[in-house]
Amino acid sequence: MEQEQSDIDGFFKQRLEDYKRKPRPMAWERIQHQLDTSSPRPKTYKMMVTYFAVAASVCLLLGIAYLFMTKQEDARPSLVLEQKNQDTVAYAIPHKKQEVKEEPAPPQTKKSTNLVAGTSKAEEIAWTRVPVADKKAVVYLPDSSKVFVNRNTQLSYRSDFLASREVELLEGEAYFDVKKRNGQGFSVKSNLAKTEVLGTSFMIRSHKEDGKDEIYVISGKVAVSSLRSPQKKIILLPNEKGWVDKNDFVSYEKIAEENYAAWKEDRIVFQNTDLGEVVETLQEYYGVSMHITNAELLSCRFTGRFEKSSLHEVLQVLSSTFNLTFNDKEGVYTLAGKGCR
Amino acid sequence: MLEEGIIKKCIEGDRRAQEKLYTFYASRLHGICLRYTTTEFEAEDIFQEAFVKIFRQLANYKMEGSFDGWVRRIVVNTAIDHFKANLKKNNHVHLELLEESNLDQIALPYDMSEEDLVHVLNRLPEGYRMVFNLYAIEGYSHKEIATMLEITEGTSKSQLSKARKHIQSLLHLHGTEHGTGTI
Repeated sequence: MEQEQSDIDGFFKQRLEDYKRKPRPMAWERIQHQLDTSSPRPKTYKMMVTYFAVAASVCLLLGIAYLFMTKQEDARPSLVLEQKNQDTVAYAIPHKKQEVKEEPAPPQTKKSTNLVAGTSKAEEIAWTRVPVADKKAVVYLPDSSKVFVNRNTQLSYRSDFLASREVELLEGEAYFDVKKRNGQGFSVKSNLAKTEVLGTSFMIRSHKEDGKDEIYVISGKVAVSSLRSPQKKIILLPNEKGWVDKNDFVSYEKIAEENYAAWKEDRIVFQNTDLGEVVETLQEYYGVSMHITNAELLSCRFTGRFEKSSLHEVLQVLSSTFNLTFNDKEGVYTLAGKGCR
Repeated sequence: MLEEGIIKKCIEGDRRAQEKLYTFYASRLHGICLRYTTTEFEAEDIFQEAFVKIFRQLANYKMEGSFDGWVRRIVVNTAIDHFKANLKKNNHVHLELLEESNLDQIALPYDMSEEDLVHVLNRLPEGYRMVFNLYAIEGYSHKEIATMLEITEGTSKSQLSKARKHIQSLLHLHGTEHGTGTI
């Protein structure tokens, strides 16, 4: 009968009831982070702090805008040295192993399909985590590949990086300029996708809430596959964007979005874009909330380009173009006006 | 063992005490999470979410009954929440092709590691995995499972028997792949 305990049940219970496996070291930091950010107790105090933090980061963004601007052609060391206080935004991560055990890192032999062979060793990889910050950053990996990291992005790389060149992106956006290295591959695992390259530039956007990982190729050739179904693999060329969704659907198209790398270029471009979309782009780019009070405003279309501009500047341009007003109440921007009919 | 008074310190927000509690339970609870999901990413999400809940709700723990049990239940409940959310998102039914194998002739795979057994669970359709975990490993009754998952007792029973069959065919596969099964 159904009710009786089958041998299978007992066997699994006996073997797995106390099954243990160490979580990755970064798990604790994330938990702490969550406890800090939304702890219910010191509410008023916390909110004040965040308020100032937001204000401070807006100032910082301007600073960073300047930094990004100055580095454009050649990565001058000044980029790293520009800011010495604790707000330093560009840092090279020292290539040292912290709290990790060294792995000799043999050129990973293909994982055999043999279930019996102890695969547990491969799981105990040590990772070095790039600190999550509410500001953008430039990170130099140990192989001197350069990564532009957007704010609130969770990125880590294997501690034996030079042997493996493996990066993990769990949340956010990162733009990679990968150095060629004697034909050695470079790979990024995001939530749903694995991206493999030799030497090239590409950007990955992976937000858990989107249920989709997107890979934008700027130069070179990039292979993208589904993490769960590795046989689903496509090759992308420059100006193409590939994606893997949570149903393991893998596809690609020509890049149509103007602003996918706005955060990295510090440039927003609009071409006959309706105000709804403009507002969406601004919200994402500046990390603010915006409201449009009346639907008529959506009929307005805007063409223009902003480089390293503050939100205030952008809003001023919009308001004089469309004769609208904006106000900022507790960090939420409200746009009002008659529209463009 | 956990030191005396650590729970109280955790409630007060003592970060060091929290870290001790975390270290004490991390591997165990992470192990539970891995049994409930298809991917490790999802297991990690559940793990982190559950731990945050543990610290937040610590004040509600009434020092009676085992603390271990309390902590485990939070993890299992978090896994259940994820399961329900997934159901809502993709309501397509898994039609799995089962190779009908003669079930009596399957030998239990004593040569498989715990890791491998977890991988077997990872490969089950979600609903089967849920019920099998709750019934066979956690030890809940069909009645309790029905309440937790908001399904009928009948569904719980049929999911369980399907889960067992599915597991057996996966083990059968293992046996034929590695020549260790006695067929």
